[in-house]
Amino acid sequence: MRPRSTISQRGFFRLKLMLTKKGVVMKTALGYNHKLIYHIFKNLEFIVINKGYEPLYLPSWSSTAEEPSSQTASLLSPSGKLIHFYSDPTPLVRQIALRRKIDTPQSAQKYFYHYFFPRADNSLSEGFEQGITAGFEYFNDPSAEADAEIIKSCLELVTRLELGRVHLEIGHAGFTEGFITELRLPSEAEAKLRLLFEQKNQSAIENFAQKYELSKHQIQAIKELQNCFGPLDIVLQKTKNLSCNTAMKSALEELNDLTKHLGHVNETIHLDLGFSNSQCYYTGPVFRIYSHVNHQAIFTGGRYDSFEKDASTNLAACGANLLFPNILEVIMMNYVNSKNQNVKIGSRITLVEDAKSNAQLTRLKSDLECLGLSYTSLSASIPNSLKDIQLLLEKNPALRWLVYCEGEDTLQVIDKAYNQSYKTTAKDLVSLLMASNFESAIH
Amino acid sequence: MKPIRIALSKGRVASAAKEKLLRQGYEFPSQNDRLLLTMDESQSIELLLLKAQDVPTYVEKGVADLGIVGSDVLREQKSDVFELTELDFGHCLMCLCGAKELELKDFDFLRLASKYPLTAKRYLEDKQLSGEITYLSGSVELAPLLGVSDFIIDIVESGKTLAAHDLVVHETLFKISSVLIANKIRYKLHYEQISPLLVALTT
Repeated sequence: MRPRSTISQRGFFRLKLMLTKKGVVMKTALGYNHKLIYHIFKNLEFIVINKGYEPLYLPSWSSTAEEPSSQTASLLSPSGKLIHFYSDPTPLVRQIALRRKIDTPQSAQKYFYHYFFPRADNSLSEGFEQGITAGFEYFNDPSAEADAEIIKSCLELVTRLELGRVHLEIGHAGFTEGFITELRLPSEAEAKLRLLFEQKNQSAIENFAQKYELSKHQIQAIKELQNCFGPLDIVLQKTKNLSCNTAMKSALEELNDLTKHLGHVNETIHLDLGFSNSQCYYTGPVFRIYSHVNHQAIFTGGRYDSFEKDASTNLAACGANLLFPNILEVIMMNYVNSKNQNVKIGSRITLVEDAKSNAQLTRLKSDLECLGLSYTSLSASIPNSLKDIQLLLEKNPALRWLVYCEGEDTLQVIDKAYNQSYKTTAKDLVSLLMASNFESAIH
Repeated sequence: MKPIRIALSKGRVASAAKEKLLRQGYEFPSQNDRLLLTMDESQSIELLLLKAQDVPTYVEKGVADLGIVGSDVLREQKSDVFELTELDFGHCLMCLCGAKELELKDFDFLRLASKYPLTAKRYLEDKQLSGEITYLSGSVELAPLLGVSDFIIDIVESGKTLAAHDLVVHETLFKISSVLIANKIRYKLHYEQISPLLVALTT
């Protein structure tokens, strides 16, 4: 059955209502600030439309999706069909591009998209959670210019959204694959090794080497590749210790070419040859952009010329994906920091949680999220005494408010700015936060 | 150059890590044990003492560059950090425990109590058992005694607390050790500063 339509916001909430009646949990992730999401979409649109990208309206579900992953949310429709929701839009965009390629074989195709979708919630509560994604893809152009355009567009969006300083990291899936081929490992071990490179896990490498009976020389090479990161010249120097096969050499040339095409970007380009991106369909340069504000990846992407399954249908493709929750967090943190720049200490809120089911803190978190206010959550028993709490606040300049549960109905609040400690309820605290430094944060 | 900040979980892990660093020549001023932040004499590292569950949060958010925490905590939390290496201290076991006379196979519906609800959930899934999980934040050994649960899933180090409550280990789920974790950006940007510390903590 062909997918019919994308899920709208209204559709999403109707689905949520339907699931709630059935007793299935559906979390609306992050208490999304829809004005802010619209702001990001508009800026993305502004950048990519000027470069010739067309909007693409993606279906969110299908009753015939193959091999649902652990992230795939599945639901039995009222008519008895099993519906799978897409959690990764890239294969879908590629399918559409492939269909259109038949009509226009020579021309480059550029698309951008955004959509909301339910995905499986793998936490203790199970059920579904709301996902949101946006991205842009460039088809039918295998050149380094196309890769560079994708990365530059992401950096432009960083500037337009005023996300602050970022860390650009580039790797090459082909380099890692070339290296793994040399080891001649069984196929199930290859995926494991790819993950170990990315995680920089040294003791797991030892266990892996023992399990697959690798030689000392091979272990040494794996460890060297794990640490093959840094600025371009340093990485190239490090690769001299590795004996590179044709695939690895060609990957290095491609990376060199890409960095030349990137030219002068505001951010220092860092390479990591052990980084191949967790999605195994990437074939060429891959990249991630991290924010220095929240230390999380905010963009990810790369080249994926051919999936394993449809290698016959060769279509050059590269693209980028916006990691929405992290971008939203950066914007919120920047906003709060800028609003409080006259206050010497920051305005971050820290919640100390003593039990998962605490209604007061749950309500407070939900209210803060809805207002778009950022908070850090710590688990219980740091504050053994008031003195401990004051020490924690003094030593951590990023925190201003510290909140923990006093009893069933009250919260204990420490306001560092006014050296005040008092009891309140979740509702009153939110009113207080809004009335003090945060009144404009909701606009 | 800014000092490298290491988040340590309070207690035995922090003591063992500090001892390793002392052996490698780092010196810390003798001071009040209750102080949560300590800078070494050369001002190259700063130790941050935290509750174990908070160590991954501090590292993930970039407040600390490195962290040392038990693998049990990492299994329970989804943290976007590098798990660099296992360390040779903080060893213990995650076990399913209960009264000696109980047999797991007698239960159609298993009531588990644990400080580690995700681990308990995974256990039920792996064994294809139906059951309910009660989250407790401490004194888990009391749960089977007072009828809150049939079994508990908890860390066992010496087994003395279990024995004191007439409980025994029915199954060992996995081994636990301390793990050195790092913030993903800071590890790469400050690798030159961090790599001697890796050597100090792993030798």
